[in-house]
Amino acid sequence: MDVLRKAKSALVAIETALERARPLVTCHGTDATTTVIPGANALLTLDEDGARRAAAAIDERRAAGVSPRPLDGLPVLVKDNLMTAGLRSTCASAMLADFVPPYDATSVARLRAAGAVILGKTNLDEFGMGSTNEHSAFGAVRHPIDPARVPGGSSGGAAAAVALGAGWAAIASDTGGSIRQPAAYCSLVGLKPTYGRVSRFGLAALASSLDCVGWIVHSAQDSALLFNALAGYDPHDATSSREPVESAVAVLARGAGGLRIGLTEDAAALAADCPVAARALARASAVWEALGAHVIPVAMPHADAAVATYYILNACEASANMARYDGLRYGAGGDAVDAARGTGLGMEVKRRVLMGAFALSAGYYDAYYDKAMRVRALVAEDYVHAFDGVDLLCSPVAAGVAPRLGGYAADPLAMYLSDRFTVPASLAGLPALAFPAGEVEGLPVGLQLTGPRWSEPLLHRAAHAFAAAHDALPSEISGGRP
Amino acid sequence: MTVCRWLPTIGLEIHVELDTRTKMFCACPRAALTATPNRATCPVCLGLPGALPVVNAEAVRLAVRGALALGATITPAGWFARKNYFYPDLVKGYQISQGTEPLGSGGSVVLPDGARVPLRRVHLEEDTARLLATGSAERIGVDCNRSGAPLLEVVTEPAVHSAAVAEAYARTVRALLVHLCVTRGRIEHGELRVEANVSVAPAGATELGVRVEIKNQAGFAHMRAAVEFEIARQIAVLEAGGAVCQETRGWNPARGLSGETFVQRTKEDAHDYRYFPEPDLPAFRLPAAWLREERARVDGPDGTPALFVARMEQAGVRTETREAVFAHDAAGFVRQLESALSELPSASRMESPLAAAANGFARFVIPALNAAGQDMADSSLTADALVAVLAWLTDGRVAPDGARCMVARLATDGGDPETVGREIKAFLVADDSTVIDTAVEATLAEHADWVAEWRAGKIALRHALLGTVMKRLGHGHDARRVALALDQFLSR
Repeated sequence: MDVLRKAKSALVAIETALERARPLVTCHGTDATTTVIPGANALLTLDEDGARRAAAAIDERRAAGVSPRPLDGLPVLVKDNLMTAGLRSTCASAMLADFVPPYDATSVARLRAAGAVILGKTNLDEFGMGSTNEHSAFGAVRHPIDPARVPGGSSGGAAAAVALGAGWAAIASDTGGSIRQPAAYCSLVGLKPTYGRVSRFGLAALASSLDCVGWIVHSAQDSALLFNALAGYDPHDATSSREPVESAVAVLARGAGGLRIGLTEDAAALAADCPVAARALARASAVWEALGAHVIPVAMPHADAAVATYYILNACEASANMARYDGLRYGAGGDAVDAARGTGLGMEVKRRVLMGAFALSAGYYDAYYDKAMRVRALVAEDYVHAFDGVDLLCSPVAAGVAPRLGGYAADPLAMYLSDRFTVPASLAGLPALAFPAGEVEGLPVGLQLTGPRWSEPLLHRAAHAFAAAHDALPSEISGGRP
Repeated sequence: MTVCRWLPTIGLEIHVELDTRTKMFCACPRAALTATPNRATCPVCLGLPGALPVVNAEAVRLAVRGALALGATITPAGWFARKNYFYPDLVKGYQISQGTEPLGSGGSVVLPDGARVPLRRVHLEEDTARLLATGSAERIGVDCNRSGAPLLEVVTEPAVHSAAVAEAYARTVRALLVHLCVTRGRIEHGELRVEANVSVAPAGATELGVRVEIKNQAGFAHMRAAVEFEIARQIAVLEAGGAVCQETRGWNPARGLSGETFVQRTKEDAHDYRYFPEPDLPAFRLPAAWLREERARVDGPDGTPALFVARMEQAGVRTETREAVFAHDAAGFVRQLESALSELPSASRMESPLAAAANGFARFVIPALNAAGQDMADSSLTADALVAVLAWLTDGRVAPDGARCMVARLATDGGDPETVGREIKAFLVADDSTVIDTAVEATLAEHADWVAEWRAGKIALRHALLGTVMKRLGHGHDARRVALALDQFLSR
């Protein structure tokens, strides 16, 4: 948002963002008697005093002529599964409703070091488990355009808040699409970096081998700024990489001419069950070609197994990662440890813990976990072969526009299957960037670019070129809302 | 005889705390059991949401040394696994351990009598927190100082058939690992913990009997007593036609060596720990240089206690001294002393530096440890300090008695030997005949009754008189000269 970015005073930018943020805090507009506003429940905690103090310090630095830092004075929101020292971090779970961590996540510490101001914490599906942001102990988040719909998940609060200008950006986590899918539903840019590119230290783990810290912003340009500030090795995260970080900002304006863009989905075949995605993809292909890129179809033979593989691994790792919330250390506590666990954790969390514990148990390990790990390697191999012939892949993020609230209530499997376009890159640990690609009756549709490991600069460069060309087109994609 | 009809089988698990500076997966220091609870903690070892483990390379290296010393085959490409179970002292709900490919596989331990105990595996893992009584029946404390401490777990095959061999095995493992500085091995500090699995089957049977696990064995003698008791108990149950239950039994050390094991926990089934590879820690490959260096260290001239004792023998150290040194110097102090002594300019005039080190240790350090009730690992004495004292002894600046007092003081309080020596007046006074004579005269005058009794034939009183004179003089006087002066005065 220009006002937030261009404000002369950090304090002015912060006050503007706070004003937009206040109505989005949980408990505003959620009960039946009040009108449910767009983006309701997007925020769980606002740190007004802390933000003002930080902004005032930045204004003092400016007045004193200290050279500016890359994110000086920009108001940033933080998904509530990332730890913020002294500021409640709930993971949207009743279990952690009062949990105030004593330390900052590395990504949060790097934000502060780059001059960003932490404004507050965004809602999510509990511990990141969900694709609609309805699985929050603090209530469902409403879509920023149509409050009868979900904003996507699990980073639904982050997407809704940024879409409504309550922050310049939100940092969040993407395990199987949790950044990309809500970004696509809310007409935003969302980056899931390469696994190991941005430190996970301080991110409450869902599935440790899949979790990535990334962000939701308005443009590839903003995303590139954050990439330069947050990417890089962290001695506190053994899975973070020492691979040197190339600047995404420096290459942004180099255009998409000559790039080979692979299409993993055949638009005609896709049209049957995902007409919206198919139309967006067809139009995007024309844009890529107009930009001088070459569009090439690419086969991904193991894509069909990705959702099953992903959900086995996710549940297995989650079952262990949730074990510390056993009712002894966190939650209501007291005499009834079982009760603390029973009420402290939501339905979707319990479902995954049960599935994961089952899949890891003696006699089933080989059939589930071990087999899933082997299929995971095959999915990753598909990408290696694909990148022999193309530079980047362009694919849908979701089948259609943001679904209505309660759409998956009776059918969790349908919710899992809705992740089919986003989980393959997660399994392969590859960077993927979601970007706006049109609207259907005013509701946004997004696509994503996936690249080889460490190719984030190229992803930003291509998305930046696409946006410039795409913005010149009418936003509506013909065909009507499904 | 029951002994012939039944064959007991024992498997042992020894947990050894590695002597690192910091914990297994974070930068917190390893804390003593007596430290204020929960002070040596951080988000990682408290298992807070979002915290991640990072492997302590020093711990891996010590574990490699330990595994090599135990003859295990090293797996150079290793990985950690999550062992999932719930217990109040397990902060993450899982323990980071090793799975189907441990750091070391197989191996064996040769006991002093030549018997060999085969090992199943040697692996690295993190310790749990500790439960503390709070004085209230309704509340129990959890001390996370120990949470995440680095452990080496050494597991035998179920191949030991007597409590005596079990005890000899545990003592040998401790001696070996302490000798190589893998651990300090102090049982009273929880740095070495032994668990025994005991079963009894009819002699000649091909299958083992039902297994009972015994916990809380405070020390080797207790472990042996508990295993002996358990073997007898199981035989009695079987002889009476009963069946042994698969369970965990405790042992209360407060009841002494004649105590009983008691039921702690009955298990219906073996636990399903749902092991899977730890996703927070990438698989690792041990540096070839480490393996080479640690192999050289273990196979080197002093690699094992047995090799070290043999080298002392060659250097001409007497049998009693060798045994005393081995019993007291588990931490390699004598080897440090040897290398420090061999760097002295006077080294060429010395008996072999190893013999000088061993003799100096036996003569001065062991009495000091005994007097203070200390273990070498608790002592503040450094090799350099002892070298200084031994050098002064050779130069005649201190008498043996003064040296003994200095070492005693250095062992308990540490400090600079020169300062300590001056404080306790240990340095010999150059020309002291008048001083000695005055002291002798004064003492004899003061204890005229003792002198009279001595003259009447109570000859032991000479020693008491000598001690009193020495006390009056301080340590700066050679006891032999004082004795001479005393005898002269007495014979007058």
